[in-house]
Amino acid sequence: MQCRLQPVATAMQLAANAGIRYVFAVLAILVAVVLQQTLDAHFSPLPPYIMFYPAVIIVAAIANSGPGLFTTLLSSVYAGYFILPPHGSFRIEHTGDIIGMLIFAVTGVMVSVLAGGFHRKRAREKKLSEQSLRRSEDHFRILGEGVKGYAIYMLDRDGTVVSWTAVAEQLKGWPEHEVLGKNFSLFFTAEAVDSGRPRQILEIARAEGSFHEEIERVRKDGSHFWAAITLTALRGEGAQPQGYAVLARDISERKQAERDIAASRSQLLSIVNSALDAIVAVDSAQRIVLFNPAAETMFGYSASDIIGQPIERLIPHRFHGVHAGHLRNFAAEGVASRNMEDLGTLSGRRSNGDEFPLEASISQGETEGGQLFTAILRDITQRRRAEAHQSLLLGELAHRVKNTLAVVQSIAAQTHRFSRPEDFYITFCGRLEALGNANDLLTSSEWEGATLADIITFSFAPYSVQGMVERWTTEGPRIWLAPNEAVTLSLVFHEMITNAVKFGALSDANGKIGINWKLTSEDAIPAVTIHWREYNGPAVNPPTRRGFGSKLLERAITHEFNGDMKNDFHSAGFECMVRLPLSAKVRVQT
Amino acid sequence: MIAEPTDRMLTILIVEDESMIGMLLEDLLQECACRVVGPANSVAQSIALIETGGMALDGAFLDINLRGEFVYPVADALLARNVPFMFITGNATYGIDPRYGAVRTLKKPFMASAIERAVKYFAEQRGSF
Repeated sequence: MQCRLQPVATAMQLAANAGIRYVFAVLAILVAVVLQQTLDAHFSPLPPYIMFYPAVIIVAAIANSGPGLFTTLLSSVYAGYFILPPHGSFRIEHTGDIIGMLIFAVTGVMVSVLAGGFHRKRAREKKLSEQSLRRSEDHFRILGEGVKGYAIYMLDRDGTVVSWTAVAEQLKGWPEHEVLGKNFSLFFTAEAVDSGRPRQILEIARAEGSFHEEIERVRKDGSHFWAAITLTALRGEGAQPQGYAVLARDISERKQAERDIAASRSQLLSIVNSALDAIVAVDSAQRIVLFNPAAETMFGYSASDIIGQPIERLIPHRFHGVHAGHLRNFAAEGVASRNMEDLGTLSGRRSNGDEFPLEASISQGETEGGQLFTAILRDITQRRRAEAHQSLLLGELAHRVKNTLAVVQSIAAQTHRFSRPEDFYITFCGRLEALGNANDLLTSSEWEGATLADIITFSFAPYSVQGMVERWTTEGPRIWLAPNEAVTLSLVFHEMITNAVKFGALSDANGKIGINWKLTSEDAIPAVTIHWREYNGPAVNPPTRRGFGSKLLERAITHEFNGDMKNDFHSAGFECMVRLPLSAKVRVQT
Repeated sequence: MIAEPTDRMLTILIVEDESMIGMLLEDLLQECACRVVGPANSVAQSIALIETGGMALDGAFLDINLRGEFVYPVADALLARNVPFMFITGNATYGIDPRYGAVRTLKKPFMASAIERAVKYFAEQRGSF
């Protein structure tokens, strides 16, 4: 409706303007006539157009070409009728007057046309400038209100707010009338104001032309928000800025998102950094992009040295091709993760070149930076060692059990061969007990070996009862024997003790046994020489037939220990010298 | 009467460092009508018996571990003389150098039938040389 009425209103306005302009022309002519009449009375005769020339010029200049031409016409009519003779008639007597009128008319038309051109030019310029103004106003409105979330306002050179927009009000909470004329320090936090931040910012913007920062700002209700602020100095003619345009945007959401990301990133980092397993990530070019502290310890590289390096640095040379193939296949399969156990034993390479077995799982995922492969690695050197040790122990155990069974088999065979059938069971069990005692002794030292003193004491165990223990003595340096030697010597002592109980010093109530050993070096062979001496007992006779005991004694000492021995069946008691050369299996314990 | 070579008494070397086991094996072989050489308790002693014993060996039982020393040099010396031998072991293959994987083993404890089979094996080997 407003649009339809617009042309009518403009026409009416134009008509009104035209009326006024022609009235102005008539008034100018009237003034000219009055001045003509008045001056003519004193300075007759005046040139007929002396007052009309100025009237035409003034009217044309002020009221444009139409009223100018109108004034020219009306002035000519008036002059022709009233001024030029004969008066009171349009007839003109003198040819000179006709020429004068023509000159006036031509001059008036020319002045009016010139004035018209001048007026049109001015009107055009005015129109252009109005359009341009309208355009810049539109721009400002679009900037100020059309751009969502951007508050635009202006400050003068001291920081006083001189313009404000709806978005600015929306953002900061103050309506226009409350901020206009106030200093922009209103928008700063109290601490920022105390530290003189608003003035600093203006100074920087003045010196550098603009200033940008992301900072906490205050709303009218006192709440804080994060804003991205850009100040641009507006320079006029001079070097000093006339004011500043401020562009402010609420970035609280982005800041919160950034804080969330930072928090989750630091959480993730703390997990990665505190993990006991090594975590290594590579990009699609197989270059290391992540290397946690456990990986640093495992491989002996610092993260700063290894990041950016190819993953091959961590893999033994001979596996380079294999590894690249694995990774290609894994990428091609597109499986998210995989335990690497099904790839067999993997090997890592430390910075010092050492290889070590490792267990790994690998996962892949797309990130903004492209494909990322993450491997979680565990050094299984210790576990492998423990497994190997365990398997060794199990093998040894099986071997020892079978060996012991063979020894038992041998004891049974020898007992069967040398004993009367009715004695077999008792004799066999006694020997088995000796073997068992030797095993007990060795178990207490985890099968490392046993000392000579302990072997003798254990061999006497079946007789270690009140009234008996006082009847033997042992004395000598600490001699250590390896397990097999300890078992054999236990069986030997069992036979000697059994003989002493049956026929020797322990067969009556008074006999005693002294067992002493010392280090000797007969024939330059370092050895331990054991002296077994029975005394105070019954008189003994050499045995009539050789039994298992003497066979074992002789075999064990000469064959197993490479030693020698000498038996004496004195009437005072049995005496035996046994020499065991020192070796890795028989040695002085320090 | 002319004795066939197979009827001749077999001469068997025993290399075993544990006296009790050596004694047992000796008894068992004697029961199988074999002549026993040894038991030797070290590599040096065994080699000495093989090289200078002056006896033609028909077979040997070798304990693998002799007081921490491996018996393999003895095995090599026997191989060089084409003397068949068997390892004495608690386990089937435990601790045997893979190079000697084809060598037969005599398992502890010793079954009478196993000893008989072993002696028969040595007798057959003698026939083939």
